[in-house]
Amino acid sequence: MVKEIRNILLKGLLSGSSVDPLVLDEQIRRILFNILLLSGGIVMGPLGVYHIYQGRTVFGVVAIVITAVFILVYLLSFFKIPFFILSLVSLLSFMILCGFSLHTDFFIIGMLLSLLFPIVLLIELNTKLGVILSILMGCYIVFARFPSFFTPGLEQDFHIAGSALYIVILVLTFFQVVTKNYRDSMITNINNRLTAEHEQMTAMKDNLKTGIFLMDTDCIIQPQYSNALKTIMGLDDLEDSDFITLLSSSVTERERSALRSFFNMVVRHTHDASTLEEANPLSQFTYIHTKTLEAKTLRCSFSAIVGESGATFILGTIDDISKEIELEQQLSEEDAKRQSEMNALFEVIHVDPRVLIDFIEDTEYEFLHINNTLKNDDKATSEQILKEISRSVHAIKSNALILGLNSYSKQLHAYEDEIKKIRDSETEPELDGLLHLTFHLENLMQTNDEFKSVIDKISAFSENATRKEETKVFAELLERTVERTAEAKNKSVNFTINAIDDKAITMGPRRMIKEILLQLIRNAVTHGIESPEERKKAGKDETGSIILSITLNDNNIEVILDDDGMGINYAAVAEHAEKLNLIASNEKTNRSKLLQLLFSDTFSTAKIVDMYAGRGAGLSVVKRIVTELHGTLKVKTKDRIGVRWTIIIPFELDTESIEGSIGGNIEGNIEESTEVTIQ
Amino acid sequence: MEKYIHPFITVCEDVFRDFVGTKLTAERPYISSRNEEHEWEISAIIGFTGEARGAVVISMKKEPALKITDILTGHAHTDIDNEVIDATGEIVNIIAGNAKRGLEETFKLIISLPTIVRGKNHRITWPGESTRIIAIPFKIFESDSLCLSVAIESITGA
Repeated sequence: MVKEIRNILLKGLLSGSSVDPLVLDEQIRRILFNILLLSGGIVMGPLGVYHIYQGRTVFGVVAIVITAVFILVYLLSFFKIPFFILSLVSLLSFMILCGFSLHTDFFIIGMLLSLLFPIVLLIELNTKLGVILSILMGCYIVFARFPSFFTPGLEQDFHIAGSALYIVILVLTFFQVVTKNYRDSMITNINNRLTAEHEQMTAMKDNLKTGIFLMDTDCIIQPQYSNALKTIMGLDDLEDSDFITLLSSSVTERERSALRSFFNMVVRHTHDASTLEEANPLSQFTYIHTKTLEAKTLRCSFSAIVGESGATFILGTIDDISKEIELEQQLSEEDAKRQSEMNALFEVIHVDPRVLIDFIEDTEYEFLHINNTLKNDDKATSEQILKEISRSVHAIKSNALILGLNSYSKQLHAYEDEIKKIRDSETEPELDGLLHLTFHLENLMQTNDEFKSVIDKISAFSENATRKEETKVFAELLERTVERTAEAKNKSVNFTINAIDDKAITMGPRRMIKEILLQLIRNAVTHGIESPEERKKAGKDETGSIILSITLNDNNIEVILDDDGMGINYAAVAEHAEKLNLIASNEKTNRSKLLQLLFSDTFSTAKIVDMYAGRGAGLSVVKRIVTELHGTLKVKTKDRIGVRWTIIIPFELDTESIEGSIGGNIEGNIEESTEVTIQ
Repeated sequence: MEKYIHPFITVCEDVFRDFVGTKLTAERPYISSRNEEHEWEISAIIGFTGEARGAVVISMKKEPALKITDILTGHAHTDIDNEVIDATGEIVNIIAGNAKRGLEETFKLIISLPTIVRGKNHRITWPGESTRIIAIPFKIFESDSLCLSVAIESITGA
């Protein structure tokens, strides 16, 4: 209720407008003006009536007219009429009233009223006009009844004192108003400058891509920070939050405490900027939003600044460099890819084109086999299929290694790893995993395509790349296998081919025989032949020897591979098998059981899986192929003397029919086809 | 390239579940050669361009196409007529539309409207040269099959 009355009063005094702090000055003037009008009206109206009643008609009429003018001006002030005109009109009528009073019997009243004049005038009108009117009024006061100056009496006293007072009031008011105006204009200037500066600062702050903020020494973010900070941090209100707490998902507890000590270091000013930059744990880090867990790479830098009040703040800048990093990564990935492609090409160039053609064909054959396995074997379990694929990949990898195609071998090795991961997981492989394998396979095929295009280009220059020298290529490949494996294992081996039947190779199952021999030769070098030092100790020649003969008799291909290594190390096999829980402790000396284990899928005595051995696929591959070829395999081993492998394969099977049957039964029983002789 | 395919697989499964009310079971993917013979009778081709280029093709034989139409229209069909084409086209449209939303938001890709091809032993000439076609077979209606084939090559940085 009180408030409402107050509002109505204020509205009345403000001529209808409501309180606005921005134009307070003007409103105060208006309130003063209106108070003067109203009080003038209230006092002078009855006064005029009284004087008419008393017979002083002229003065009474003037007072009433002026009252009417005041009230009219007040009423008009509710409309949009410029304040200046209103005040001028009312002040002029006030002036007339004063002048009239001074000139008549109401000299004393006029004098008193006139004293009010300069105050009202200078407050309500602008200074220049106010001064002129006030001086005019002053002159009038002095000269209106000039003779009374010299006529002693009450009027003289009033005249002299009034004139003096008028001058004093005029001067004081004038200086007061001038000072006030000066101060006002100064404040307005400062205000304008500050507003402009603030606008610029805000524009900069809001449009800056970098997040800038101030923290106090307790890492509390201060109210002024750039808009970008909100975007970068993904948070809306950062004021008063603890900067380190905001990073709680991004850095560990320990790193957070390190961060606090770093900020202490920043605050203490003990180190120069470059040292600080080096010590900065956030110079580049992965920011994880505490709620959405969205990750970004940010770059931050911090420096200490001392405010005017002496308080120290940490100035932080944050940039979102996720895009840059992503691009950098993409670039380096592409670089690495190009590099590896170049390497692959260099490696290819170093391989004899005939050998390479052989390799490409073998690889294509294996890929086809893998794809057929994926496509057709509806009934096979995923495990069987993956096993089959990893065998094929292993075979390609072995070949690639022998040819020195190291980049490609690495790719294949990675592929094997991937298959192994899927095989090792207990659950049935998901579509995702298989799809990934398929896409990866496609990549490998593309690399092979590239080899092919290289070889096409090379064979355009050289006519040698024919298939006529198949046996030579075959022998070369085996020699290379020995060479590469020996080199990788730091062994010294001499490889001799005693006999190699051309017909057996060109018309027989060349690819199969090759694969068997590759596995056996690698096995012999890796596990059979001892290191030169060991051989020396055992009284053997430092260079080990491997001898191969492939002969054709009675429609059988007979492959014999001898090495003079340490023989099959049954003790090591037993120990390893026990570790893998593959045998019972009473079977540890059962050599035929141990030999069977050697041919199983997951058995390998090599300690580390590397590119040359260790996956345990080698001998199981041999077993599978021999079974598929309906052949037999004999192994003869003698401690410290060596091993002889004898493989007999029926000749009538040609490659084509093998290819047809390869997708079939992959389980075989070692005992059906393996004769074991132990001397 | 897998990242472009995953949305298709999910969308296919979702659309068939929600609109046809049948479950798609993905089988082993394999690589299919460009000129391999196949027995599909109706194929929908959705083209890709942008950071990767290529096509996704959804193919099926007559029977599943008829069954899908039966379910969608509510009456039986015996041969591939316009209604069957429309119905399968509509399903593929929904698939393409849904996949488009996911793919175009995430990658710089533009996906075309699907085109329907029908006819026994029709052949698709795939865009691009170097990439092979990855086929993802699905089992539908227990014994029928449907195949999602993809050949996409990345052209960024090339």
